[in-house]
Order: sequence, then C-alpha cells, then structure tokens
Amino acid sequence: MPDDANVLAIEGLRAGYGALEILFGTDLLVAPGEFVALMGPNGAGKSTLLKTIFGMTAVTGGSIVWNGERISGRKPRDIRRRGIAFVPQGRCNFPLMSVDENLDMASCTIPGTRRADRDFVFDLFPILRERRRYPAGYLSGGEQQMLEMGMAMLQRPRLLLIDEPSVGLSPQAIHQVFAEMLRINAEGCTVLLVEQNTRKAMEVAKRVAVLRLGQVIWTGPPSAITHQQLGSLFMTGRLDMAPDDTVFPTV
Amino acid sequence: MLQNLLTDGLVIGSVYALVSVGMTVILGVLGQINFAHGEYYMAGAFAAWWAIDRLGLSYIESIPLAILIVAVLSLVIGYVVMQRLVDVSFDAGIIATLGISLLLQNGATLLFGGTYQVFDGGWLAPMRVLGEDIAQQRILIVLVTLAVFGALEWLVRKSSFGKQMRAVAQNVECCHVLGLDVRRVVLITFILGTTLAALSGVMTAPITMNIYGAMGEAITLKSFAVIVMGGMGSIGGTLLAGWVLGIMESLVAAYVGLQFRDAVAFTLLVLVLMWRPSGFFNTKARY
Ligand SMILES: Nc1ncnc2c1ncn2[C@@H]1O[C@H](COP(=O)(O)OP(=O)(O)OP(=O)(O)O)[C@@H](O)[C@H]1O
Ligand SMILES: [Mg+2]
Repeated sequence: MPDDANVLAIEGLRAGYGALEILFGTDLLVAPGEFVALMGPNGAGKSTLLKTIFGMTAVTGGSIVWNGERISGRKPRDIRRRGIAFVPQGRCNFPLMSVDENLDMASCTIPGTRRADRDFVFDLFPILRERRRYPAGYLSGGEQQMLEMGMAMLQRPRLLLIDEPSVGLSPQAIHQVFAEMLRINAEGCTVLLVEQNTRKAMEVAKRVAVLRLGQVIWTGPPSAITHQQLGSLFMTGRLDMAPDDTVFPTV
Repeated sequence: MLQNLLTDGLVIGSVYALVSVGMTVILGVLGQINFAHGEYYMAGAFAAWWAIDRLGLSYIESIPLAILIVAVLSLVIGYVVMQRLVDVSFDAGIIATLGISLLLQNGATLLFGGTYQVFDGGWLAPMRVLGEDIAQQRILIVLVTLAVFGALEWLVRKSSFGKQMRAVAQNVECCHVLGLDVRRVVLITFILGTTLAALSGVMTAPITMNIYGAMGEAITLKSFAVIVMGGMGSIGGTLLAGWVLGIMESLVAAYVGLQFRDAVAFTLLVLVLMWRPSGFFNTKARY
C-alpha cells in the first residue's frame, strides 16, 4: 500500500460560496484511522470545510487529496464513491419518506448494498427498526440524527465527515451517536468531527484542530490544551496562557 | 342535456388533467413552473399533423412518432436549460421557461406558417355509451388519462425512479449528500412531463381539429390553474382539478355563455388563491 493510503491532505485550500471566500488557505493533514475534532467559533467555516471536502462548494485554490488522489473539484457523487461519507449540520433526510425508503435512497447509489446491510443499521440503532414505516419527518431529532448517521454507515465509509451531531439531542441520544463514531473509528474509519460541545469532543477525539476565520490556527492532542486556552483561541486566535511543550501551532 | 354536458366536461377535463400532470411532476422535482408547458402540447399536435400530412402516416403511427419527436426536443431543452434550474431562483425559472415558450411558438410558426392547419386524423365515429353517442376519440382520451394516472401513481410511489423523484422534490441537498444524480432525475422527469403534454396534444387534436403555433398559450395558463387547484404537486389532485375545470367550463359555456368559457380557469384560480391557497384537495398528498 502506498504511504498516502487513506490520508486526507488539505493544502492552502481556498473555497466559499460564489464570489464569497470563506476558507483562506486552510491546511489540515488527517492520518488514516485518526479521530479529529474540528472546533472553532460560529462562522469560522467549519461546515464550509466539510462541505468543501465533499465537493459541495466552489474551490478557488489549493488542493484536497484523499487516498493519493486529488478530489477537489469533483462532484459529491464521485467523492462518495471513494469511501467518504458526509453527515451535514441540521436535518438531512427526506421527511415525507419512511425510514425504510430513506435507507433505500442511501443505498441505491452504492452498488452491492443488500437488505442485510439495512439490518446492520437497525442493529446499530434499534429504535429505527421500530420506526421503519414512519415518515422520517415524524421522528424525534435524535432519531433523525441516528437515521442520518445510519444512512452514512450504509456505505461503509473509510472517512466520515460529521457536522454537529449532538445539537438538540438528549444525553442518551448523544451517547449513542458518539458511541457509534467511536465504534467505526475503532474499525479503522477515519473521523473528522465538527462539534460545538467542546467537552464531549475532547473526550472522544485523538486530536483537536481549531479553525478560525477560515484557517486552521492550532492543532494538537486534547490533553495539550485546556478549555480556557481553547476559549481564548476561539476569541483572539492566541493561546493567552503559556502552553506546555506538546503544543505546536501550525501557522 | 346535462349528462351530455357532464361527459363533455369529463373529456375536456381529462385533456387538462393529462397535460397538467406533466407540469405537476416537473414542478415537483424542479420547484419551477414550466411556463412553456403548453408549447409541448402544441409541438405534439404539430408533430403528429406533420407525420400524417407530410409523411402520409396513419394517426395511430403518428402518435409514437410525435411523442418521440417531443422527447428529443425536450431532451435538448432539458439538457441545455432545465437541468440548470434546480438551484436557481423562482424568477429565473419563469424567465427561462417563458423564453423557451417564445422560441417554440415562433419556431412552429416559422416551420408551419402562421395560419391554422387542419388536423386530419383520429377516430371520430360515434359509440353508444350509457344511452349517449360519444366519439370514440373522446372515450379514448378518458381511458388513456385514467391509465396514465394509474401508471404515474405507481411510478412515483413504488418504482425506484419514482423514489428518486420524490427524493429530489423533498431535499435536493440531501440528494447530493447521498450521491444521487439530481440532474439525471431532473432531465428524465422533464422529458416525462413534456411527453405527457405532447400525448395530450396528439389525443386532443382530432377533436379541436385546428392547430396553430400559439395554441399552447391557453393550455399553459389553464394547467397552472389546474395544478394550483390540485394542490401544487399532488398527482391525484391534478386529476380531480382537471375534471372540475373541464366540467365547470362546459356548464358555464352552456348556461352562461360560450364567451365566458375561458374565464372559468382564471376565476377558479383567483378563488382558490383567495380561500384555499393550498388547493382543493388533500394538501399532504404532495410527493
Ligand atoms: N450557502 C451559503 N451561502 C453563502 N454564505 C454562506 C453559506 N453557508 C455559510 N455561509 C457563510 O460562510 C461563513 C461560514 O459558515 P459555516 O457554516 O462554515 O460556519 P461554521 O463554522 O460551521 O459555523 P457554526 O458553528 O455556526 O455552524 C458564514 O459567514 C456564513 O454566513
Ligand atoms: Mg456549522
């Protein structure tokens, strides 16, 4: 296997919406099997970065390389075929279609998915099996989040991009969703998580990356940074308190 | 007399339903009103006329040929224009489809002249149904409409492509996230919708007998009224609304005056928008 197998390398990425640039030279290197929590203040461009990796915004510069292949500029469909799954922020399902039909839609674009794979999703989130004939729009927020995650899991991704899965969820549902991320990560799937719940994110992630004004300004293991330091990074872009030796700024 | 009017209304209503449901499916996946819709109805009628008059084909042979011609035409228009309308604003869609409407109308006038052409085809011999003499072509229109609506319900509810149509209608962004080929779904749905209009045009031409380049204009506006009454996106609602419009027109023409016939659609449209903007029928039926 080449060295860059399942490596996600983002270099000098510039992207945004139409003429509006949101990412100004973002750099991020994610190793195979890593669990990275991407954090930052509102509007920093976290969701934009995930959308851009998945081919849903206009790239104006820099590159995204996955698995040794440049994927920037490709369509979401092609990116998904390369083993990347995306669970966006907010609701992303077909509200008037049943849970079953939603899962059908998720699998109809992946050749070789069978009914058995659906049982695999139901085993991960048993509540979905009970609700399989309900329209997705009638499910609770937590159930919808599980459905959306199940839709991503159907494709057996090697890289999961997941954006704020804990918003509006009960502690119980948050626990289930995070347990599932840890499980697939343990099976070798790389996870890039955007999360406002910094406490929870720092519990599960092996590494933290801080995005501010469209650039990654700090990255390191959760143990290398305190919550105060994180807060000050969000607000001023600087670590006000003296960091310990393991902290290495990237910019 | 009344029974006569009702059957008449049902036949005309079926024509409206058939052409309008094409607009309904296009609205569903694209979120745009196809203001050139009547032009595909006109194109279907002209293509069949051309096949009969110039190629010497029989009516029955002209039907599939006309549909094929309109399918190819809308493949081109769909590819060049309609596919791009998925994520543009509603007013851009209006301008684009109105532009296409002008192109097609004037194209037909250029090709076939500005005068009426006489459509010579169809089965006009009467048939006795429930004690009434009705032209076979009229009965055929109702039967074809029922068959088409049955097939469409099945397509949208049960088939894999129908699920994709509903998916695009409900959440385009989610379709991208799941890697669905949104443009392909839009293109195929557009061709489906325009060929339904063409089918309606071919089936109706033997009854109206005169065809001309601008004949689609009134059809577009009436289709718009029908889909608003039907609940903007409901297939079953479109059928009922088509029938309601057809029957009302035929009653108004007989009891109020022929000149008020074309005002019925717009009066109904205004009334519906005032009192029940979600349409006459079940608002949840939208796919
Ligand atoms: N579709 C869009 N079109 C134009 N601008 C957008 C769009 N989506 C986001 N933006 C802008 O891009 C900037 C970054 O947004 P983004 O959603 O990436 O932030 P975020 O870091 O995910 O914030 P949050 O924590 O609030 O989710 C914001 O200023 C936002 O207004
Ligand atoms: Mg966000």
